[in-house]
Amino acid sequence: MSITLGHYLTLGAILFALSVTGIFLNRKNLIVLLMAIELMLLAVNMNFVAFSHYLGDLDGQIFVFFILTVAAAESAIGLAILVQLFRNKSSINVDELNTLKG
Amino acid sequence: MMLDINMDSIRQGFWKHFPLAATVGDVIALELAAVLMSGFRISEPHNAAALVPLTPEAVASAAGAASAAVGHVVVPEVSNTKALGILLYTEYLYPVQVAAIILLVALIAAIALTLRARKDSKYQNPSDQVRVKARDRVELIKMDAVKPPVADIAPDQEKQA
Repeated sequence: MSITLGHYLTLGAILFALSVTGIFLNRKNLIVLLMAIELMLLAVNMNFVAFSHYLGDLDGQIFVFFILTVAAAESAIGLAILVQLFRNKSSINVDELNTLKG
Repeated sequence: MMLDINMDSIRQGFWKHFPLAATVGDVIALELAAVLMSGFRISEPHNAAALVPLTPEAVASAAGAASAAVGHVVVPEVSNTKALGILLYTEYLYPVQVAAIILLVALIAAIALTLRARKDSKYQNPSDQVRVKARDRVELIKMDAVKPPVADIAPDQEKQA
């Protein structure tokens, strides 16, 4: 049994569903939320590469590079904001970040 | 543990949030499965070479076919990595530059957000050192070459001396 396009898409779907579950499951730690978002982006990347290979079109794989770039920038700034948050509040608990609540 | 995370407090709300999380996750998984199983139809390829798994010949033929219409770069028989690199630095050169700028902005933003200078550290300021002028360092005072005559000094000052 060879690996077909459907297997890759299923893997991507499983990763995506796992990350959505992780976001809803974890209401405590902000780092775990960031990791779940990264996992979501990687699931999308999996689909991009699978379709790119299937269609014989390299543009999808090029797009993955840019997604990775934006993901790296996002996580860098997200972690920097997290550090500032921890310095100010001595906590990264999501429940305690309610100062913007109306 | 290296991160010093209190696992007990993290797992506190696990079973409280588990039903909602499991429901949403299942819904997402079922939707994706439904799309994959039934509704997913790949459109008819424009040419026969498009469905062939990626081989050097396929790359060359696809690039050759595209170059006539869009002006893509013709890629001769190369590996996947080399084809990606050629495509990245010819057709996608401008987006690559934009991505580099994005990374640079993220780098500077992360440093600017987290950098905190220590208050008790003594350090040189190179900017001030470069911009310093001679007249800020040495002050020339106009004064007589010899001591003024004794008579000019007031009597009270003489007493103190």
